[in-house]
Amino acid sequence: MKISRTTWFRIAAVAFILLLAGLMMIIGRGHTIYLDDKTLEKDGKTWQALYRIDASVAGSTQEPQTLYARERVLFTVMGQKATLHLQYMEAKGGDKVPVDVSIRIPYGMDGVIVNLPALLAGESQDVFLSEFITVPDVGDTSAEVVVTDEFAVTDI
Amino acid sequence: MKNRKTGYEAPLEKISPARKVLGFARDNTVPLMFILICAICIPLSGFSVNYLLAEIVTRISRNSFLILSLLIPIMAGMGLNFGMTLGAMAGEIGLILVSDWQIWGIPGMVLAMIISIPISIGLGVLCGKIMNMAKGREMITGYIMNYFINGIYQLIVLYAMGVVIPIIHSSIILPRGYGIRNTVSLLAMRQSLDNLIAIRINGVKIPVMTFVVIALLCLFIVWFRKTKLGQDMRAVGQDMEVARAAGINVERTRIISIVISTVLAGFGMIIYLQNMGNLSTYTAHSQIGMFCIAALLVGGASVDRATIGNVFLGVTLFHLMFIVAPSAGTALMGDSMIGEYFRVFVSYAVITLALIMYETKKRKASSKAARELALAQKLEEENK
Repeated sequence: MKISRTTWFRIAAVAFILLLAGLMMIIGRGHTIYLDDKTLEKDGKTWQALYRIDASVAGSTQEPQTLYARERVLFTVMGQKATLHLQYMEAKGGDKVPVDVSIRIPYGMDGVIVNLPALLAGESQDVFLSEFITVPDVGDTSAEVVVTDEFAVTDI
Repeated sequence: MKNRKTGYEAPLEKISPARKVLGFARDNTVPLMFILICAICIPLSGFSVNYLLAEIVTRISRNSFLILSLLIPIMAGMGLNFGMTLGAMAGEIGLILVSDWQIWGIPGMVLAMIISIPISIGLGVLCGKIMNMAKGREMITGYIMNYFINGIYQLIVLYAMGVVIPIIHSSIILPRGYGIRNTVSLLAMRQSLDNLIAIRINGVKIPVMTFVVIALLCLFIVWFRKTKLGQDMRAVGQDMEVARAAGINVERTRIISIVISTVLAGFGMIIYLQNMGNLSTYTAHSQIGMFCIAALLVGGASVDRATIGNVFLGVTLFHLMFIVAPSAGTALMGDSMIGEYFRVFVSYAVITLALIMYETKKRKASSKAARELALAQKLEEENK
């Protein structure tokens, strides 16, 4: 069976649209990065919180943020790669050390927690990165009344 | 002057300037009425020129794409496509899914548009086929179709989403575990198109990229009119029987026009909602067709004729009235609700008025044509 030129064009158009959709799913996937300056204990090892860290994320429209020991800030990013610009001070009055680090965010995770002391200590991603799991709202299930049609037919 | 229908050459009559003005006023009653309303309401509202300009620019960028989607069915003689709401629903489904998949910004918008395409095509084909069964009554058919498809939309969004269609985020799904919340936040893509390239002139933000997209659609419409399909649509719009005799597949052409309009309405709804930054799941689409059609009619369009110019004039005047009416109502009566009622009343009134005027003009034209035909026959008999 010979496939006409029109059919080829249609197949090409559908393939292009599917490819575009796939590309959009990859480049547009949004993640929330929670940066923690908290002491982390894992597998018997401890990474102490740092005195102060100035953080920003490349490509983000958000302003740089400062976090002190036991604090958390969040950034939103698109795509699976994020480059963090960090400037940390181990103790009060110490020198500021600038560091640029790139991390890969797993596609399936909406939010990730990045423990900065572990990251700056050069640990692997398995150590400093964990998934941020949102606790689902299990409150009153009748809390939201759905309004579908203000002109709905009622019993009159 | 040669009559197009009868071919009869009537003696040239000199039209006085007064009659010319009267004719212009009669042909542009609705826009003139709105210019008058705005001229009265703007000083009463007390808004600054800059504020009004900023609001108008925002609303032109937000609504123009949706209103432009109405032009192609008018070209095909199918009147004002109340069925554009179907496309709006398709766009909303795309946005709900994209929000749940956490695809943000421009990629989120593009993906929502891609998702809306097959849904819009399916609904457009259904709508077009039903309209073909109800030729001459397309507008009321489209209007009732909205209610029918809205029921299916609600069934899908309220019961299938979360059960059949996986929705995982608790910010989108109802606490009971299925169905979508009344409002879906589009914060992650809010004004992403508007802010892609935006300039400020005198404090007025111009969303350049949105206007580029609108300009591209205008160019597409201008180009489309010149294509074979566009010419076919115009022929079908002028006379279906003549078009059929000329070998045009009238039914297919009409369906294509509705499909194009529905797909464009889906895109338009996504552009509209990205500007708003949130989606009212069950009500966002319900009035959109009505307001778009009202805006187009305010711009001087009619059931059988609409231009790109009508879109921009209409959206400017209609939304200017929307902006100033509540404040003008407060200044006049001490109650902003007067203005709210006024603008809703005017929206419906303008559609009613335009439909009445269209019918009156059509009847006048057909009786004039009949009179001229009778005169031509009489002259022919006399010549014999």
